[in-house]
Amino acid sequence: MSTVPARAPADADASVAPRRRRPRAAEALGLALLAAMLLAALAGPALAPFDPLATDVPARLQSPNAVHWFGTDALGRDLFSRVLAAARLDLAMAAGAVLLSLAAGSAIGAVCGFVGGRLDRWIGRLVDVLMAFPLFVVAMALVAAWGNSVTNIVYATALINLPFYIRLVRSEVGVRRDAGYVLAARLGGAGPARLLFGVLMPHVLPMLAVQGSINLGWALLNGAGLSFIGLGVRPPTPEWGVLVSEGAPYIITGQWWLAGFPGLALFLAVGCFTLLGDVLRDRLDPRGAAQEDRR
Amino acid sequence: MSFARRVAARLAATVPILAGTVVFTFLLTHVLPGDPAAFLASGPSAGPEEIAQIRARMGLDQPLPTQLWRYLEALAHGDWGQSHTTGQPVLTDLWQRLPASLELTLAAFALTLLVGIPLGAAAALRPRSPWDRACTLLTVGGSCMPSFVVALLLIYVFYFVLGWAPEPTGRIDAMIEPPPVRSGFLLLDAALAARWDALASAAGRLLLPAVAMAAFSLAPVARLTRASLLGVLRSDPVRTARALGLPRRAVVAGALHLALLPVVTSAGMVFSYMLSANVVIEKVFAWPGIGSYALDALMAADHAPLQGFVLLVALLFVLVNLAVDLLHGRIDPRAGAEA
Repeated sequence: MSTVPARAPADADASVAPRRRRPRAAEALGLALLAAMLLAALAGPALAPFDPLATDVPARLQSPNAVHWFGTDALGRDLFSRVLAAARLDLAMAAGAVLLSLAAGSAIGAVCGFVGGRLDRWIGRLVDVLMAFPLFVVAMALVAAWGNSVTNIVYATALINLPFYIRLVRSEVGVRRDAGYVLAARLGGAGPARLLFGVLMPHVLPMLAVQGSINLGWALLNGAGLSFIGLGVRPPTPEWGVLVSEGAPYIITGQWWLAGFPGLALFLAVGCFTLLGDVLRDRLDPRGAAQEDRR
Repeated sequence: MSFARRVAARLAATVPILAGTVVFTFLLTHVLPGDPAAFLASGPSAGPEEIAQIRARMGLDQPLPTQLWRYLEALAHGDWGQSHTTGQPVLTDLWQRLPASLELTLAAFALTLLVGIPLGAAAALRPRSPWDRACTLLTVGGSCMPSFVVALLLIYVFYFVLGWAPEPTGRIDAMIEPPPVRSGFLLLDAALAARWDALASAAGRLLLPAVAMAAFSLAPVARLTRASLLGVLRSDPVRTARALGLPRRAVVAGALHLALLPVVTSAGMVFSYMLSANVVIEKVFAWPGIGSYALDALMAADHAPLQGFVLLVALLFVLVNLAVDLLHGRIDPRAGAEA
């Protein structure tokens, strides 16, 4: 990111809307959560005190205690181990989806913004049609259509997030297409590919990073929501959405921990990415932070 | 531009979107896994001839464009296909269940606006006050919490621990005779029939799912109201009004009117969240709406209802966006002039 100019814009609005600096504590909290999640994702199975799939029926439905920190489920499986083991799958699904839509969306958006014309209009229309559906419903239908598997959850989540990247990159590239430094590079003999990816894209990267981080939270919610309604990940594979849905019937009889702990894990994970997205925005794109207050 | 012409222009603009929507739903079911003919056949023992026969009867042996044309023709005649699970036409099924979903969605929508806008406004009027902090906390928390987790949390607290809420299954107590169906909206039907016991029961059952749905969509509304009002309060007209010594109440009322414009525009987005959240919430609360209908169909590999559901939701969404657009033009004369 060293190519990013760290210059704050000199427009008057930035001074009118005093920029809210996110307190250091929020930053530290976000990073700590991220570290904890990465640890769980990388070393989760090794850290888990029990086998997440091992059943122990005599010890079923225990409330949280010293041995089973998060309690046990209806088959006596240790919930702490299951929540921990789920981190890898959940994070991998979200990260895969975000990387896919980021790569594809920014490539499409960059070409649209750079070339313009008919291609841009047609892709714009396609994006409009996609946005005409409630996105979760689209994802649901796509997973049903493509087949009920984890990879398809990733593809469906990637597809519904595509429009956001296409629109963002398209407008950012379009705005800068005729900027002085781009014209200078063109004069210097840079071809379209070099102009686009060497000169223009570095300026869009900070905003892409912010969008990507916030998007990770959405992707996580989307994936967990799909597996909650019974698509994609199937039990007994531990996944936060599946764990919540397995625990849901026990809520009315008071076994709150079964849905509570995986729900908490989801909440913390999504919160972490949202927080880090805000922090990134404050750091990388001061204009955006001011704009948010302005609009 | 007159209002009528504006409506016409907007309607025309939705045509390509509608066309794309229909084609998309069509394609969706035609890439669905599994052969519906094989599924419909009497059993695993069904021979290839029998399956081929069913395929021919369903028109599945025709080329895709022919099938698309037939699909469009059928849609135009109000034939949205047949559900294998309920044995009824999909349109009839959807029509029966739509009021349940709409009642829930509208209740949640109203709740979102009634809580979100005042919350955001209070936060903007007193930045950095406890109000503002509470607003931030609630919106950040709400937007990070999946709605099914919120729903389960609410059930645990209000049904299991406190015992205030009724059992979270369905729209009305099974022991109470439902009012005669007129609109399908239980609250309305109960009130029309002067059945106050049914009204109370239905309202009680509506509350938790509506709150669970609103919890998520509260965040964007409150956030947007706060940001928008902050911006307006700093704008020149408001400064002038203050300088003129207008009473604070009048200044705030005027500012609020201006600040609500982007909020109205975002209402379409909020409605979209709600239609998505519907599926999940209806599953948690065993709510007999179109979302749980689609889920049941999904699990039974019944394609026509799923197709119908996606199409209906998209249509609703297009209609809502149209309404929002027109409303926006009414509130903000500038928007009308541009278009």
